[in-house]
Amino acid sequence: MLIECPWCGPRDETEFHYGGQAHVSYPDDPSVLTDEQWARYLFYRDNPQGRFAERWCHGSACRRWFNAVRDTRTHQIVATYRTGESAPVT
Amino acid sequence: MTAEAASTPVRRRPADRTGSPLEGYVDRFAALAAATRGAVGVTELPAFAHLALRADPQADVGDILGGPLPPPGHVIGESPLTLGLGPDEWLVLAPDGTQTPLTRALHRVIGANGAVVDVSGQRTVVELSGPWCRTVLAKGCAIDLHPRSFTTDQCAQTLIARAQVILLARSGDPSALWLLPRASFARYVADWLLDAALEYQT
Repeated sequence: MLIECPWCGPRDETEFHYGGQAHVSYPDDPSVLTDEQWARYLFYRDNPQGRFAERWCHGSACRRWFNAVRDTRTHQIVATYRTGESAPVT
Repeated sequence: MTAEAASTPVRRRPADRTGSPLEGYVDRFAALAAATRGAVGVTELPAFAHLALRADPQADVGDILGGPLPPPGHVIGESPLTLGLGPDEWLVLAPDGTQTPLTRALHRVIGANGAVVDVSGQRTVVELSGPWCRTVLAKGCAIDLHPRSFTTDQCAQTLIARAQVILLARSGDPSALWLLPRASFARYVADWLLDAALEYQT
């Protein structure tokens, strides 16, 4: 499978590492969270059937983290985009 | 162990590890070139200083490197030669011995918003030449090495037979490539290349 790195272009899947769900923002003030809210931030992730925004790292080349929208049913990477950008497709 | 022995640092430096990573392969590379009648040539080019550069992509380095900093995957210059490895990361290859003035000059331009580090021991440069060298490399490399796709003044970081390397296509010989494996992987990559080129021996 080829994954399009936003910096290096299409590369073999073996050059990449998976980094879990994208766009999980750090709590504004973690000290006011209850244990359950903190645990939800740390451990609870979406598990959709369909398109899912994920973080990937191009570890064997430019070593940059980026985001990818992957269809969890087909493993097709629908789009890739740089960190800080919002998903071009949903 | 005595207290004196414990306080004395032991420097392990075997005699065969003092030079370039592939100095023990000169004869085997020569034998390969002869056996393949020049179809696959492998040569180590050890006389380079390597500088890792992290800086603002807009940094005004034109006078030092011969042009603006290239985007990822592109190469500028001849000596020094600058490879774009990432959005804010470059590798500069320069003749051995020029690293100190080059580092100072780059430091003056990038100021406190970047870093120049001498990484000369990190990688070695292996030149692949001959009409079949890209075919040999393609056996262990997932990127498209056809001269139409990977051409002059392009570079790529990728895996060759699972070892991380920087690949570089130079101007001049259109089929030749430079391969920059990590020093500790150089002998593995050299062994792999010698094995992959076996079938082109006549």
